[in-house]
Amino acid sequence: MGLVLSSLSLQATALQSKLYFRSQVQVRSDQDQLSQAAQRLVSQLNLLHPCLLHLPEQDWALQGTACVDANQATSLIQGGEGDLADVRTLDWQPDASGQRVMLLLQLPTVAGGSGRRGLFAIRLGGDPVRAWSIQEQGLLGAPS
Amino acid sequence: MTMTEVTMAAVILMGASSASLQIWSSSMAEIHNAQRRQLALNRIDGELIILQQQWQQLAQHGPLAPACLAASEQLLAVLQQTPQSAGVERELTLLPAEDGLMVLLRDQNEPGAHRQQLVKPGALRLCEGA
Repeated sequence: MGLVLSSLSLQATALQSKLYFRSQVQVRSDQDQLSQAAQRLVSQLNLLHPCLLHLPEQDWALQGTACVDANQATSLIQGGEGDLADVRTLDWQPDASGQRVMLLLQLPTVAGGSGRRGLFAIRLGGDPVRAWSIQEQGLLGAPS
Repeated sequence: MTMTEVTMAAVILMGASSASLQIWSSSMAEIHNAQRRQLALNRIDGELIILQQQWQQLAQHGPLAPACLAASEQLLAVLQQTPQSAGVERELTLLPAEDGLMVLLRDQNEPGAHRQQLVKPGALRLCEGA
């Protein structure tokens, strides 16, 4: 009886290990997608719309007219391009020093997407000011 | 207890023991595989961190080239020279136009363990988009 119970317990542990590995692979896949989206967004801002770097995302369509029109601003917020078209920019929030921005992106919640969100710290610097560093700060689950 | 009952009990005990040992054995193998796969994931994560440090260091010194395609080519050359961890396959692909560089890392023995990162020189101030 002891042997049966311990082998079943071991089997449960093995199954759990398998599921844990799958979840780890999924987390990394989500991290990679979010990181790609961050690279695309920051590249667009640096090269095409640098006037937005210092503005919070909610002001992009209102104040960013010097280097972007309202449609472009909306497109930057609602998604990137190609495979990343559904990744949303939930927040772009420069801090008071003007040297650092917190970026929050979200994967799609429909069509098999996990809805996971990724937080990135962007560093600004140089003359003219541009983003030069993108550091992932962590993943957050989909909002309930 | 009759002889028949004793025989039946012995057969049931043997069957249960045998099945348990099989489950035990396959479960142990699966746990061992899971540990191996986890180590593969950790190896790839480590390799990715090393490469990320490379491009972050480059970014501290400003643009590599005015044009993003030329900056991607220089970035590719730097990453190609970075020593590679044992057991990790590294595939660096220069994307067309100014789309950057795709970095694919795979474990040689565990195909499920892989990472894919896009590096855009424009996002790291490594080019000016001219």
